[in-house]
Amino acid sequence: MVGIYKKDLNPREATREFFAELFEANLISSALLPARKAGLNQIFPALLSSKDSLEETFPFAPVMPLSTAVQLSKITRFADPEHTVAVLLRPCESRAAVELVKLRQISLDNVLLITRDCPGTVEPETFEEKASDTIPGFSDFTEDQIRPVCRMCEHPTAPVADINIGTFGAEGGIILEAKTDKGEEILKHVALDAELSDTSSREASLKQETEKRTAFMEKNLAELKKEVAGIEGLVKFFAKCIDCHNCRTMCPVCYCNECFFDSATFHFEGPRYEEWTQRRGILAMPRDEILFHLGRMNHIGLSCVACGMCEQACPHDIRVGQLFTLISTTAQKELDIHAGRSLTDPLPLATFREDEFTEMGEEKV
Amino acid sequence: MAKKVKEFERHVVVLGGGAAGIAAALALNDLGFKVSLIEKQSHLLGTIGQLDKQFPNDACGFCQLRSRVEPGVSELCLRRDLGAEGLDIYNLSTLWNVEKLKGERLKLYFNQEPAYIKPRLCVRCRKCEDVCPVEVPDEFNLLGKRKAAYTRYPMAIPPTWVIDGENCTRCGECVKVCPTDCIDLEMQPREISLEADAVVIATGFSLIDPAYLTELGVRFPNVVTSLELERILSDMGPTQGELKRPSDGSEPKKVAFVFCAGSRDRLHPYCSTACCMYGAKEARMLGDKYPDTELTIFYMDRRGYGKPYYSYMEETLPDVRWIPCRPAKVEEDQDNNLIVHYESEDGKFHKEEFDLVTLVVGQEGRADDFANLFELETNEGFVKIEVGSEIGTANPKVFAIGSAGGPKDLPDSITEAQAAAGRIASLLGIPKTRNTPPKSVEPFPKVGVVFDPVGDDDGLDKDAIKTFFAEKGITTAFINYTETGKGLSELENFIKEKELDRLVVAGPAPNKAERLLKERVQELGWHPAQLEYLDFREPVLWGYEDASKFNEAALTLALAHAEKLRLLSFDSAEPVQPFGRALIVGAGAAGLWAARQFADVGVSVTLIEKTEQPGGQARKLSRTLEGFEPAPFLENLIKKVKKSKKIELLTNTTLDRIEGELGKFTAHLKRGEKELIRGAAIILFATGAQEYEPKKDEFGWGLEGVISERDFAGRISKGETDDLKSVVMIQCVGSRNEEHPYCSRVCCRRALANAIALKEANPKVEVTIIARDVMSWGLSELYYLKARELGVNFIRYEKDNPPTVSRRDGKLVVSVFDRLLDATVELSAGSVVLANGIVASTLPILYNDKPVSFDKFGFFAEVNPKFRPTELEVDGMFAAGLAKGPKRLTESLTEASAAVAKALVFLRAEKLAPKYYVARTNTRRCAFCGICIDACPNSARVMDDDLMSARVIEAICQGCGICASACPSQAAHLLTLESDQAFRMIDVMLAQTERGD
Repeated sequence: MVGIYKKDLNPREATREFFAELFEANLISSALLPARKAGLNQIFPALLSSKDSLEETFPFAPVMPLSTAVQLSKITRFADPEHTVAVLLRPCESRAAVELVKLRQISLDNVLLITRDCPGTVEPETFEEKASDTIPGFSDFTEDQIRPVCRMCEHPTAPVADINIGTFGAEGGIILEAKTDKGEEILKHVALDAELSDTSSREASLKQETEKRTAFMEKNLAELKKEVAGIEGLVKFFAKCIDCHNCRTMCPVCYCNECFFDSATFHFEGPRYEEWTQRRGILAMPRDEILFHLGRMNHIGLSCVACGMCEQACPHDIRVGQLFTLISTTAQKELDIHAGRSLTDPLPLATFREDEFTEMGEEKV
Repeated sequence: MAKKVKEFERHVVVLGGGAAGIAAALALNDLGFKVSLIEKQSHLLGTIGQLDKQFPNDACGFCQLRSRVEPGVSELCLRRDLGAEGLDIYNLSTLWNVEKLKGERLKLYFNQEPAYIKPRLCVRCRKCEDVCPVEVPDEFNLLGKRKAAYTRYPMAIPPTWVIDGENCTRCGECVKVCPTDCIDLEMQPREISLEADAVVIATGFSLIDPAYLTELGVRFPNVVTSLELERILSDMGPTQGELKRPSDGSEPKKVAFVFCAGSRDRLHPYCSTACCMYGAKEARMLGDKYPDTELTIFYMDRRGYGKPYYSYMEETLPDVRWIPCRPAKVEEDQDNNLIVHYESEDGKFHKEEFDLVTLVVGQEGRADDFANLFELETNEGFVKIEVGSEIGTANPKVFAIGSAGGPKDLPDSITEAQAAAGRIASLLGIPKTRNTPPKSVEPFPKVGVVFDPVGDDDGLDKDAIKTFFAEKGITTAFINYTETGKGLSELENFIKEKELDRLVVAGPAPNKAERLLKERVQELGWHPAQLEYLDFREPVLWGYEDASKFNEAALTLALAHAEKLRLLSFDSAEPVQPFGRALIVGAGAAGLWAARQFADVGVSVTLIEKTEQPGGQARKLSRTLEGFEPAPFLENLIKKVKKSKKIELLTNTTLDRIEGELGKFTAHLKRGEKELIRGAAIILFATGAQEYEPKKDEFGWGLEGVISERDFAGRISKGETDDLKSVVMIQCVGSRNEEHPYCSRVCCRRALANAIALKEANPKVEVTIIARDVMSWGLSELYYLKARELGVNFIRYEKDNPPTVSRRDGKLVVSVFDRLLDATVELSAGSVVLANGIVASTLPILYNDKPVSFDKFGFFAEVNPKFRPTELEVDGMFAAGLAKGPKRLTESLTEASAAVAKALVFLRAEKLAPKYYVARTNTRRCAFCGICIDACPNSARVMDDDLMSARVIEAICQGCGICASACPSQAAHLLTLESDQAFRMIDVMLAQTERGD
């Protein structure tokens, strides 16, 4: 079912109304939404127990300090909540959540997964400068201020959701679309203005947006590819890396309890450092920071949803998110694996395909 | 064990180093016998070495034969196992005399031709071959040439080059280039005599020489034998795996296979057993590689008679044209194309052109050359096998296995080899084993490196090596440990003197050395993982022409291994002290037979049977084709089992569930309302199978006068069939169809036995056998011929056009489409006999709360159908007899003996060492994501909800490490190859690169 909802309201107000209806009809007992943090001008996800606090929520604030998928994992990983939690996610957050469901880090059993179209986000600092008592919207920022990963993102809308809140192609209010049986059931209880039988203008709008982003991505990544070519390119690209592993901490699909790169395998003995120094004459410290990035790429490249949280977390502004986007989109396309596409796709690391890649010099069978 | 024997006290001579011989030697060695493996050719492996892929998985897997003494020691390749203590290999040796000694012992005299090479000194540098000017036909690759200085195939055993004395011109070029002076062209033949407590004849077969098949065009270049095609398709073959016509090197587009070339004819009246399947496999391999090639098979019967055989044929060869006829003639045109003349089933004659014709040739016995030495008779050139056995001969201490006793295929040969080991164990007794490795390996070790130098001029710079390692705090020594026992004690002294607790040994190919060394250090109280064997001759010496580079590489590799060892430390579980008891589930023939053999070697057995009395399906069997009477055999066997103090026979008892692991299984049994618990070191499933019950009206089932083949056999033996005037037998009832896509293996032989018995009792009775393919493989073919001679009619039918049975005017009428007449014929019959197949008895078995897995047909699934025929996925679980698939009674007994041999390896151990090539889970790190569960190819990992962590079932884990590479956080890891060790090895090797080499 697809329908227009509250066409006289702006998307923020319409979405608040929608959640209010969900609370009133007792369809949900709590909701995880972007909200103003402690009356400040920061927007973080917050759990609400009733419609009373909806005034403090800003579902379309164009900022993402962290991926809500990780917070959803915290809520559901060890045991399902007893009552339904509605959660509002961006497309990249939903896609990360899908990967985490497959990796058993999120359970959707008592979750109503609501996604929203996303035109892009800005860095938290950029957002903070603009924010005052009024929380700025997407149109308050220039294109240059939008994070490059968002400008390259080919997913303005989420592939997996119970209900999607559409803004692309909406002339007023929001477009509610049920994408699962659960979603259909919920929408029956919601007062839609009208059903939307013709979705062609929404589709056209999404297509136009995607094409624009793809074009930007191709141009941007082609340049980046040249820049990081060869080991020298890579060394230069990561020159400022301080091996702090912030990128990993913020990555929504890096789900390990303890990262391999923090493990004892990398606790080397003193004589090793001496040996390496003897060998090379000069030993740049810290060691293994490039191995760390390559290892992480190897581990989660096929689950990377290109949200760019890594890049946003980097204290030295290394464009690590863009590099991951370059590698992961190429690898995912090559293997026809698309992170976050479906809950039933197999996990790439546990899937064996005899013919996926050939050895160097080997002919494709 | 009942008979007190010492390790390697009893000596068994195995004649023939092909698949069966190797399997027997390894199985016997595992049971503590001293084994001498005698091979006539320069290197081991016989015909099997020439077939580099086998169905049903189109891979080799020969290494699966390896010893399983230490559970999970998967790093030992088969070549290394052949170097085990107590296993001697004599190549180029021919038996010429056998003498009888006291106490049924035999003395065997051999002549060993010289190899003209001192094996210890050969470094496999191949220089002798490069300079050798002599070229002779290559008996391994068949279509190519080899030198007089040669090795039969790469990585051959023994791992040396040899000089072919017959063709060598003694030009001496090889002597000049040999870097280690290992060639001695003056070497003389040697006399060997061995006293044996038992002998296993595994002499295999000669490939039938098709030269006499002139009508099939053997003289034409593009008519090749199936073995030649096998070599052509092999990546290591004369054309590196490219299909090329011998005449012009072009790629054939139309290929014909002629089955039964040289089999089932006047010269070789028997069926060669293995050819249908290996021919079909070749057609499949060819079709896979060259999908555009048009394939035609001319055949007589499709003898895919084993469990997976028929479905392999059916599933994989849909694009092949099967023509049921033997071509009359093959001619050649001016372009070397071949014109095949044949008659199709409807009687029409055809001439068809092919680019390549493959004659699928069979097996010829060799026993006429030597059987008389053992005072044994032969049968069609094969050793005569005693009635009621598959491997026994007239001499109770001599067994003939594999194709020595009749044409055989590979799985049967391997089963027989292991069965021979089981039979010999119960005849001669077996010793207990000692030696269990310590359970943990402590950190902060002292590491040593030993190099085995070859001669004085082997290119190793000893001083440079000593200095290099001394700087790293690693002690080095140069010891010829492979030369006699002296080297080994020198090595032992080195370890003691320097107080080492890790050792890298760098030497030649590890065949002989690795296991020997690991056994030796275990005597010092070491864990085998504390010694690393580094084969640095082949990869290093061959790899570098320049001596300085060679030294560099040797240093780096040895250091990498030393560092791997330095970082090695682990705690494994306590060694398991196995229960001294075997549990056998099912007291049919296989279960009873196994119980008796266990009892013979002093192992206690609990034998459970769900019905009231033991005997199973065998109780219903009548006299076999060969004249074996199952009833008295079974009666005697049951009597012995009941009398044995070692065997606890529990009837009316079922298996409820199993817990534990190899050595310490706990079986929960149910006897009526009562629950019984038995501990067992191993479990053998001999749960049997059932006769297929046809559906009502299927081939007239339910009509009066329609009877199953087995019941009919019973009537014949009671003389109740003497009045019958006509009998029609219908084959493949409940076999080779969608529901049961396998051949039931016993029914055609039973039909032949019934038909012959009817005809012999009353020559006037009309007997017609309606069959799809008559499955009388091997020497059974002789009975097919006999039946034909006695006037039994055979009509072929296809699956999609089966005969129908009805009752009209008080008579049974069978209608069948006869292809020869191209019409439906009606036969009236006094009795219609249905060859009801064999179907699995479904009984779910719970092991540690998980069901034991069965194959797609519902039978027990062997872990490797070819090379580990009785072992199941769980270590310590075995299956034999009908439980594993359709089988004749004697085959079930053979399989039971094979399972006993494999099980005794564990039962004779005082303690079972825990696996150390095994995956573990670090519970704290495990994020419970389940990647490892999906990645594990053996289902050895489970999610433990209580621990919130994955867990390894060690009994199933094969230590392959796939989980460790799939797990991003290294929560899944391998016990003796941790990531810090791997990283360190890489680091050491990178250092060489960084130095600018």
